[in-house]
Parts: sequence; structure tokens; C-alpha cells
Amino acid sequence: MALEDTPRLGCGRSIDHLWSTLDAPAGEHEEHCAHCRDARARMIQLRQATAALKDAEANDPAFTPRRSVRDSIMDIARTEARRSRLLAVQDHDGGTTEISEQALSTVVRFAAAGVPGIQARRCRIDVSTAEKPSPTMGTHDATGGSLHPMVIDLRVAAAPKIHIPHTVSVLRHQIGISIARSVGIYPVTINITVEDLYDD
Amino acid sequence: MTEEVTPAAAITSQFIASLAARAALETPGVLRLESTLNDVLSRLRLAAMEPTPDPANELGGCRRDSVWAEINGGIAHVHLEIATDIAHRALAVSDAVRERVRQGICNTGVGAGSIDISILAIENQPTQG
Repeated sequence: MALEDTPRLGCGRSIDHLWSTLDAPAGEHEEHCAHCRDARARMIQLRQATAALKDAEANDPAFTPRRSVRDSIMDIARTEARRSRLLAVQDHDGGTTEISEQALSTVVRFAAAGVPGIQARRCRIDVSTAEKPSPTMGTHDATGGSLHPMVIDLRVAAAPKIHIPHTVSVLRHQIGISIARSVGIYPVTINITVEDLYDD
Repeated sequence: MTEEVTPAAAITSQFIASLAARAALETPGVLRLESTLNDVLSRLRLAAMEPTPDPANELGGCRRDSVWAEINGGIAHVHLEIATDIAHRALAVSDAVRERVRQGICNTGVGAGSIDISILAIENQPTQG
């Protein structure tokens, strides 16, 4: 399967675009989107930190990094912004397991890509560590660990002429199966919002 | 880096980190140890300030290639950051890594404490060729 190379946030916005427009005021989407707000705040902090370093060391040749070093750091920084939050999905006697929201979104988007007439847009995933795990499917694993309930909120665009209730039902099923297969937990809730139409 | 004497040998947190990294990479479903900005900065710091690092002078835990390890009171605690193959169940991979690391630590004579795992990416296995 082919996964998109462009680094994107969980809401689908390009990280490079966000970085290049950091000087401009936040748009309507960026003001209300938790992914964009968080990424912008982190990028501003990163830029302030790098600017301070640059100012302090600008005239010292000893502190001029090689291009390869600078590129490595920026690659990693972009990757970290894309990963978004780390979600604690499993408590185990021997330790915990966290999964990045971006990694889980990748699985959700891949599942959505296999449903004709649907385009995935914003995806937000949460786990509840406050709730005591219930004995339903997906809340205890084979090794005795506790799996925290996972809730997926996905916004999609739909093609005209599809039967939306049926398609959404298929999509919800596919997401549940994909998360179970690729992660090992069955989401307790999959909320799907059809927010727009797109042309085939 | 912490160094503690066990009945058999002195085990360093750097050794535990290396052992954990190897155990993770040998686990089916693990694509790689996933670098973070902390790793890059840690490497830069070592390269810039400690060309010939003296492990005995380093205090606290050891961070090495996406693995952090610390030995405290004869118990080793480890945190790994990995990427997993989408064809494998991520939590099953995590459990397998934890068990391999735990077994490896126990073989050193040090006790195994918490082994926390962060899965930072779930991706396709790159095609060979």
C-alpha cells in the first residue's frame, strides 16, 4: 500500500504549509483546530529557540552547523510535529504502551481509503485512562494488560450519489477491523461526521 | 550513567540500553527504533562536548538510539521508541518486545523493572530491492 509522503497533521493540513505561514495570522481552521493550534505553538517555540541560538552564534564559525546536520534536525522536528500526541493505550504490570495519534490516524485513513465514495479529513483519537476498563471486547489483552477505551472521531467528505448510511456503516466496520488488526484493540466508539461533498 | 555491582558483574545503563535496542530490533514487527529530537540533540551534545565520553562520569540514565535505560536499586527501567509494521498488531509487537527485553535484562543478573514502549509510527514494511 502506498502512504502519502507529504508530512501532515492529524487534521490533514500540511506541516510544511503550516511552517511556511507561521508569520501570518492563524486562519479560521487553524484557530479552531487542536492539531493546528498545538503544532503552531510548538513551531513558534521551536523557531524562537532556534532564533535565539542563531543570534548567539551567528558570528562564530565554530557554531555553524553543516547542512546535513541542519537537515537532519529539521526532518526530525517535522516528524515530531506530525506525530501529535502520545496516547496511553495499554497498562501492563511490566510497563506501559503508548501509540502516537498520528500512527493511529494512519491506520484509520488507510481503512477509509478502501471505502469507495469516502475521503477522510480530520481525524482525532482519544483514549480514556480515567475509565476503569470494562470486560468488553478490546479492553483486556491476552497478556493480562488493561487496554484503555479508544474513541475515534473522523470527519469525511462523501461523493455524490452514494448511499450515506450504508457507506458510513461500511466505513465504521472497516475502521474497527483495521484498528483491531494493526493495533490489537477494538475502538469502543467510532464517530463519523459527513461534513462535505466532493466530486468524483 | 548509573553503574551498579551485581553478584556477577558491574552492569551499566548503557549496556542495558544496547541490549534493549538489540532485543527490539530482533522482534518481528519492529521496523526500526524511531529517532526523536532528543536523540539527535543527545548525539550532537556527545559529538560536540564529549569526543571521548567517559561513561563513569555520566550521571543518571543513559539515552542511546531511541532507548533510555536506568538502573536504580538493582532494577533496570527501560523506555523504547519504535516504529511497527502495519501488518503486525502493534500491541502484540509491544508485548513481544517487552518480554524479550525483560528476558535479556534478567540474564544480566539485574532485575527488570518497568519497560515502557512508545510506538511512534505504524507503517508498511519497506519493499526490498
